[in-house]
Amino acid sequence: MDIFLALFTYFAYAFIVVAYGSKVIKYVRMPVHLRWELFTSADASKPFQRDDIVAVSGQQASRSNKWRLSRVWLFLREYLWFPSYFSHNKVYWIFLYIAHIGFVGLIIFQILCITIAAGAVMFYDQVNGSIDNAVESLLVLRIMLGIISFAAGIIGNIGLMFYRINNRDLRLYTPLLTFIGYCVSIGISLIGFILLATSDLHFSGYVAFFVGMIQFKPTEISGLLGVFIFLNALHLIYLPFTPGFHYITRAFAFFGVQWDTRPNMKGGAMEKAISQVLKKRITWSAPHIKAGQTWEEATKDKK
Amino acid sequence: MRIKDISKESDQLVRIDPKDLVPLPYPYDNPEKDPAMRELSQDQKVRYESSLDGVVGVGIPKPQDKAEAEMFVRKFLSGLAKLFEKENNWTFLQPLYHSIEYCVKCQICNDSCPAYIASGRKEIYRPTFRPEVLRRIIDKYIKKKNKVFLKLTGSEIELNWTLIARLGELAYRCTLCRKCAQVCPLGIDNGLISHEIRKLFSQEMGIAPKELHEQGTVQQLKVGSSTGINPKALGNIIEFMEDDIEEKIGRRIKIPVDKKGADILLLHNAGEFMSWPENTEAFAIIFDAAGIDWTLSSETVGYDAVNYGVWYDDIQLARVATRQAEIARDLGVKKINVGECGHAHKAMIVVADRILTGDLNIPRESALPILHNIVTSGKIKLDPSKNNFPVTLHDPCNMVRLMGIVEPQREILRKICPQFREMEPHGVDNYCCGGGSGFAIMQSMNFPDWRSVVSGRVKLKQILEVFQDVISPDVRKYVCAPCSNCKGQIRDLFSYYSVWDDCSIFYGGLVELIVNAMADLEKPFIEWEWH
Repeated sequence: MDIFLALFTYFAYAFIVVAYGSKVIKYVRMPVHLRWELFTSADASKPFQRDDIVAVSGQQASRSNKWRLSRVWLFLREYLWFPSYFSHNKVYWIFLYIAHIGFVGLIIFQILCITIAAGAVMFYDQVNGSIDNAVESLLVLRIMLGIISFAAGIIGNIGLMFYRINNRDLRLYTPLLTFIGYCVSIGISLIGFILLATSDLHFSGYVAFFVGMIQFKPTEISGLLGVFIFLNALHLIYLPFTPGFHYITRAFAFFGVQWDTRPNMKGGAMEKAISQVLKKRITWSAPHIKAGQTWEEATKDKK
Repeated sequence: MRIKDISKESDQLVRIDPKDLVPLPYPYDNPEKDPAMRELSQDQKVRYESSLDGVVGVGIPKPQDKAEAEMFVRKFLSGLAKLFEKENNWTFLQPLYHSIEYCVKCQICNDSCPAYIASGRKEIYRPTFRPEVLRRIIDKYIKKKNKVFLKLTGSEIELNWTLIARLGELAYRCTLCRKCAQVCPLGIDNGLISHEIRKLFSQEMGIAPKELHEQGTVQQLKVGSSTGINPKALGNIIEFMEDDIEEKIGRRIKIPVDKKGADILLLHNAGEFMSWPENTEAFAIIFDAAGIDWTLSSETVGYDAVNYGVWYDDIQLARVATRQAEIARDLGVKKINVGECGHAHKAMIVVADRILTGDLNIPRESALPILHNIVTSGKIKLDPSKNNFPVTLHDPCNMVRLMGIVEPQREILRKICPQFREMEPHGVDNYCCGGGSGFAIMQSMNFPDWRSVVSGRVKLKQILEVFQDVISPDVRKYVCAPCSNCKGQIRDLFSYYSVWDDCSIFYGGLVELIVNAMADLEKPFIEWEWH
């Protein structure tokens, strides 16, 4: 059991790193695309200044630095309190926000436990083998994080699950996998909460598990903690099959598409990138297109 | 209705019921008096796919036999795969990939879709419906995911001729206004998915509304304009406009054509020449008064700003934009300015910025900042009291939400129209006129009825609401729509409901209002004659 949990957790971490890493690489390697901008209400009411217009092609102007900074703020604001959800559906927003507090809290909680475990391994000699001694100063933080993230995970995910079931608009578009995800999240949070409340307030067993992982010496795990570790690993494997990576990819969508005003200057990097993609050969087969031509050739073909 | 029902054979998937439509304000607050949408004839139903909503926009002919239907499915799948290839779709690969992969289906985009709202929330018009259908097809038939995964992810769908034909029509029930994308916290662009479905149909299957393709980009590249105006006819039209200007302002203005080395090549939507020559005339009067060094082109494609390719076909988009840039280069102008045409703004100034390289990369600007400069700098003397009637502004999606040109037109109106008032919502949050992405020119069968009854209904509601306090036909009112396609849609919308007769609400461009306010003109420039 201990070896299985250790191997399963190794696999889960490797899986999510490879899965998400490959997604990022796929994004980064994608060619330049056409400009396809979009502007938000933050642009609507401010005084008009020439620098603020995208009414010009790349040759003449691009957006001001002030405008760029305002985009960063818009982006962060959405991360911090989900104003788009709030303004459109407040009930959904409440549960979604709480669930995300639980999700982010769980990630931080795990990072904290792994950091503590790594610290314990690194300073093993100084603390005479006592893991808890090495991390005594973070105890309150760990307990607080545990309580917040587990409680939020339970409330938020139960709320989301029932809201998605009861709201026709959402139910119709929610696949079984999403409900499984809610159940796994609720399970993790519930068990974590029970562990905190009953047997292991310091979560030292969980830290010890990571110490074993780091030292490649699986530690003895029993009962509910084993289930907690298993569900956590399962959750990591589950995530790449969901749109959950939007945490990262939305940055590509906003900064790389909607707010991408990089100008195409003569002789500049953008022009070189465009020249490259215009050399790509097309295989579209409609009658007005000659398959086999490059984009550049097709563009000049006045068929 | 379930999502997978889209592939089930039926007479009609969804029916537009007048009782379900979003209510309009006075004097159209009795739905029973709504003009009924035309039903298709039996012959039309037999020949064309109409089982989506009883409307034909694209006109996809029904297959003659099973082999033809199977070929149709194979072509669709082959095109769908190409949408995800760097070679074939570098133009939109990254945004498409993101929108397909990362939507969480939270449905907060629903309230932003004018067609979905106006129809009484018919499932097929929901912004997430067609992306979900496409996503399921991709999972099952392109990624070929196993049965367990398909079950878990809810990707069950049966691909057949009916589904594909309905999806092709459904791509033309979205105006690509991208209001749904604007509200998405994850950057998902459901409008882009409609655009990509249209592209697949055009670039792989050779299917597109004839008004956009044969009579649109193909005719433009061949004859010179999607209106059918050839260079010779253009000469006659310009002569007519010079005569008309003389009659209206009492002096002749020479409209410059093919002037080498001019500061500005002005690209007009050629629809203005045909339907609203007063718009082109107003530009000529303003530029003449302000001493602008400008010219029109008489070269094929060079006198028509439109680029319908931006709505359905990247190759055609690139061809038109390249030809327009070549003409500007050959004339040696300093820059291209796009007149009052929203999609031409977007296509030529922004989208084509990633197509035109080297000496084709001519500076390109909107005409709105120039007009703003002329009006606010005092280069021409203006008397706002000449425009002392209620005026509201329609924001063309392409210029405003999709380009960020929000304020220039407003500052002009605040300066020259004492009774200017904003409709709600406005600016980047505006609603589409309902004629976007080619709808305004699509005249197939009962499609014009659909865009008046459904896609344009929210815009009509906004216009009626903003003028409720002066709704009486005794007070003339003006909707300023600085976009040719929006004007076409508003004209059709007003005609459908008799808005001019019932409420005296007129429509027109921005430059007409500027000229109407010019202090030294004796006669009003706006003639208030319905056309």
